[in-house]
Amino acid sequence: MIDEKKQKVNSRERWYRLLEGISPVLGFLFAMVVMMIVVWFIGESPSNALGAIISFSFSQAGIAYIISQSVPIIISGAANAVAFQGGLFNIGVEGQYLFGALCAGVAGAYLNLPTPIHILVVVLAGMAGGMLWALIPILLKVYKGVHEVIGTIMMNQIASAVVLYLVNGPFNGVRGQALSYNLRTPYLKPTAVFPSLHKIVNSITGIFGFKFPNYVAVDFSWVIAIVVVIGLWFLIFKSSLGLRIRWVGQNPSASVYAGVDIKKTLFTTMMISGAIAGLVGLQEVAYISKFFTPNITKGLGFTGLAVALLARNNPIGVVFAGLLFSFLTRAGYGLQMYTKVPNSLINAISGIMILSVVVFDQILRRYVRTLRRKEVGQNV
Amino acid sequence: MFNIWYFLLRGLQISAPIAYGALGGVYSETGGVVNIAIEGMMLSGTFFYVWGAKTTGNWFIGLLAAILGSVLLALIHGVVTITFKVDHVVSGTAINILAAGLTRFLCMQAFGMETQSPVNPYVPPTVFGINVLAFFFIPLALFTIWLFKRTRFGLRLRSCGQNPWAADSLGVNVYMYKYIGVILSGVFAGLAAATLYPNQWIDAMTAGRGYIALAAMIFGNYNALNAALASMLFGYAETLTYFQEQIPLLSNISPILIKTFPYVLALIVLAGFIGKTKAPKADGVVFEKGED
Amino acid sequence: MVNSDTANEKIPLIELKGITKLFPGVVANDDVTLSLFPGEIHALVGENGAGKTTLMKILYGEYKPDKGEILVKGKPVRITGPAEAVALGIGMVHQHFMLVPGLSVLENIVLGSEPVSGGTVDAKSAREKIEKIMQENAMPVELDVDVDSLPVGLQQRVEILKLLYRGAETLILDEPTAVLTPQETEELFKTLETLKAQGRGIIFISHKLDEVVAIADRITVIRRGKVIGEMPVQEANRQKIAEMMVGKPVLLQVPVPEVEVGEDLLVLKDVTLVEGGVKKLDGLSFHVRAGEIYGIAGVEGNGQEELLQVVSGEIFPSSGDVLLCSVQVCGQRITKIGPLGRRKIGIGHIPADRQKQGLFVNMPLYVNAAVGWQWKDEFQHHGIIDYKAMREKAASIIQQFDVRTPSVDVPANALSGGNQQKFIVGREISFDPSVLIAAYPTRGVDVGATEFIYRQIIDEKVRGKAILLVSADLEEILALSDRIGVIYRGKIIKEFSREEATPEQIGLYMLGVKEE
Repeated sequence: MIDEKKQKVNSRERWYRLLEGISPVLGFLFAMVVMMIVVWFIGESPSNALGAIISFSFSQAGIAYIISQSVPIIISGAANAVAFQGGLFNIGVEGQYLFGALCAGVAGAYLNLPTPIHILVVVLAGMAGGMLWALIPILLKVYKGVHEVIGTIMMNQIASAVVLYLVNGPFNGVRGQALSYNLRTPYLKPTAVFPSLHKIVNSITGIFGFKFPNYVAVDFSWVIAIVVVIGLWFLIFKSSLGLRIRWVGQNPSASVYAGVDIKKTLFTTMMISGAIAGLVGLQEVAYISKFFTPNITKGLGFTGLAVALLARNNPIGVVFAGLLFSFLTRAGYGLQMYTKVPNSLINAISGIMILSVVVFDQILRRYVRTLRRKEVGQNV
Repeated sequence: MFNIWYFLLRGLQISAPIAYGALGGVYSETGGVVNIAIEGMMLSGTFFYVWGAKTTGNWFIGLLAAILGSVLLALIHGVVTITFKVDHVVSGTAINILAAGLTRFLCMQAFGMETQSPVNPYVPPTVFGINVLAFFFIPLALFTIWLFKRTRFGLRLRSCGQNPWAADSLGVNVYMYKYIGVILSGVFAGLAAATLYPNQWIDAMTAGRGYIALAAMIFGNYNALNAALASMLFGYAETLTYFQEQIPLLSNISPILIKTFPYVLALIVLAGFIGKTKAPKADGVVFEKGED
Repeated sequence: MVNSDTANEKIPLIELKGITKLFPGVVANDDVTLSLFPGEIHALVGENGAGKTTLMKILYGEYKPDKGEILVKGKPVRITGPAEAVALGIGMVHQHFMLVPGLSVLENIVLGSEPVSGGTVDAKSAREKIEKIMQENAMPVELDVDVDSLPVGLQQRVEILKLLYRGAETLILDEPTAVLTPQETEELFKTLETLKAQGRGIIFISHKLDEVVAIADRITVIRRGKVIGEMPVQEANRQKIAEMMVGKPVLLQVPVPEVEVGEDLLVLKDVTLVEGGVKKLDGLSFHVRAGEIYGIAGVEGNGQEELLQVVSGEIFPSSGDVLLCSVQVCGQRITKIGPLGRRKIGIGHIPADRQKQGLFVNMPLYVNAAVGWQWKDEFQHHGIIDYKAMREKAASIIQQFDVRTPSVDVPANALSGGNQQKFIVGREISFDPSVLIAAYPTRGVDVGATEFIYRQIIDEKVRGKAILLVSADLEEILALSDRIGVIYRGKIIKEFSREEATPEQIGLYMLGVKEE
């Protein structure tokens, strides 16, 4: 009898959790519907667009690209997720990865070190760069009460000018072409370049008949992404530091009551976020182009923000949301190449997706809250 | 030669979009809605200005289109934050992302190019060589102060940002006033857009001015006139960078690095003064009416 | 002017007929019928959660009734919002004041009913009208200051002026005396008598029986949403009302056993706290001994909040010392030790606000079992959390302290307020601290849970703990404390022993009328 009641409670609990967790799916579907309506509106047939997306994304090369290009997106998602968990809004991932990538590029190009150590130093330089760029906003927040959104946004603006200045000046690898499009640092030393993992990965995926083509990046940055995701999952859900981070994120005054040092925790959270952000650009710098350029892929910070929201700040969820956004990027190119629909529609749609996810989230949470209240009423 | 008159006018022109953005922020946040979507609204406005003016050959219709384009996003921000009670900063960020993609998409549809429009000759008239719209931000700031202090609308809008529950208990339609505040912030963002650079639309052309506007609003302690004056601080800081070569002290600094001046200044100013500013008590707080 | 003897022959100002209001899973009001005549003060009494406020919010248009009818002066009306209620001459002073900070007193009074001329608010005519009202009712307030800067008593006056400005004939006052000193209460009662003499009707919500008997003409008792009885004040006495409220004869006093007091466990010496140039605490001193409950009485905003922060370690005082005797050492200076460190040496803390401080409401109950005590070895090994230990702890709290919950996995906000509070009390007690801070331990909690919590606190006293009790409820302080310190402007200005304490005496000190 008691067991039966307990079981009923448990199944109800599962249902609530499912309801609370389903908003990303609904948000995604809603955004897709909006996209198809827009596609139809500009005179392209939705089935045509869908066909282009599917054939371009789900070929062997398409899947390979999606997986490979999800790496920086996942890392950026993780950087955003940890900040959100701690109640911080790190819009500065954008600037942090830009500066981190510069630091990594400089460390790779100017230092002389044996291979494994040099790679490690490149990774650490990236993290240090990201942390440095996160440092000023978090200090301003903790000591001066400047909202981190304002602080990080300003640092983003400053970052793009500073890297341009540094690569144009002290770290210029193409002298005499000031401010040119080809502006970049010198090439990384061979000792600093990320090793390729094609052989290893293909030997595993080959069992299922899947091969990553040579022109798709399968490299050490995959390992970085995996370590970041697992490490973050462990930090957030298993460690006491992670619990404190979540406490501060959910309720600062209860955290004070519980004796958590809020300033220290906020600082730590932001440093972790900045360090992870510093890794976002490494695939491009240390494997694909082998130099740093101010023209490095932009916008990954904001994509990561969307990824984190979609994943509800769960590190494992970030992997799936990252793959989804990588797919969306790919889908954008598919549309651009084979239909009248420009790539930029995908950017607009990701904005709509964030909005619809958070709106659905609110609606469902409220609904579950009402259901729970009813239950409390029955228990009284 | 450094022409002070030219410098002052140029600075006014550069300050105006920031000031309009800041005034927009004042309206929204006075009603209790945090609005970092100002940046996106301004960007949307810049596209719609060029599109409206170029299509009709009339700068005034361009201005109206800019306002409509900004208000459209303001409305989304209102629905998401006021009706659906989502965190204001999350909504604002998403709208900025949306605006970046939307403007490029629309530019592609309208002009067949994604990152910039053709040149638009239908710009607002100039007075003393600068956009006539640049002269109105101080009068509008003064008007705003009068509006907030003396009128029923102002009193009610302020009450919604300070204590919406109290306003509600006196029969004030809190949701409506919050919506009006956010929509007016869209109107100002549209004005900012039409003042910024009406000759052409370029991808991401607002370049963080919406954020600078927010910094000016905070620095101005959510007061319309002070926010406008703070905007001039940032505007003239930016103007200095254009006159860099003519100013002895600045001419040695790298022209790339000096572009960071307004942003660095914003950080310094916020760090130095924010402790003394006072946001409306219920700014950013989700208001829920009735039976909860 | 209406003579109250003839009031019954008049048409009632308000008639509520068969009002029923359902909240998810709860019947908040069940077929409630109530009337109010001009020139009458009608007291609505009942326990916390009995449905008094809900009923009044229905009358004021803030809630919609599920069934029933409202008549104003004999005519059936539909009140869909506060604006309609105001138009019908109904006004309400909420328990938590509805004032807008940053707006002046004048602006607060006119808000929502602003006189407008030429597009602007006509401040001049508003001022004249308000000044006239203030004069007629002898309720002066300065009009041009920020309403936030006024003391509580005056803020309440502003609230009543708001109603009078709107020409309210029916005034609803929800627990108006909860935040007032006995003297301020007397002032309020004078005002109410004046308003009554003008022929207005007043609905007075309270659970303080003395006051009800003193001011009301008629009394309606409500329990679990139902009207239990209605009587003219002449037929009422405290014991009778109390029985009707609770449904069974209750002991209005909890028995507090005599315990031999030991040495000082918690000592505050000359503690001063300056925040933003304002002295929040001003040379405050007291000591709490083992086996003793020390109650802090005072009008809200006289430094209670800051005192709690200083004792729990959330804020360090600008000067002065906090000393503690624990199992390990005695007379230890803990002035500069934070909340974490203080818990480690034996201070437990039932916080003032269970939702905002005591719990992470969206996290499962088992996590909440370790809030404040997360550093304990049993909950973590080398920085890794032991969730199993947390679950066991939660289960043992639930069992020992009679917390009603479906399981330890539900988020804390799935529990009712009383059960949340019992869970927190249980958590703090179960870690066996030598000093227990109990801040507003029964605020918003039903009578059953209140009694249970009182027993727990008394048990702790019997076990030789030192207990610091801070409460806004003077009755609670009088019922539990061995000694009472009155806080006024950040200072303990008077201490009473249990025997010498009377509400009137304490009230004089709370107001600062008397000083040592």
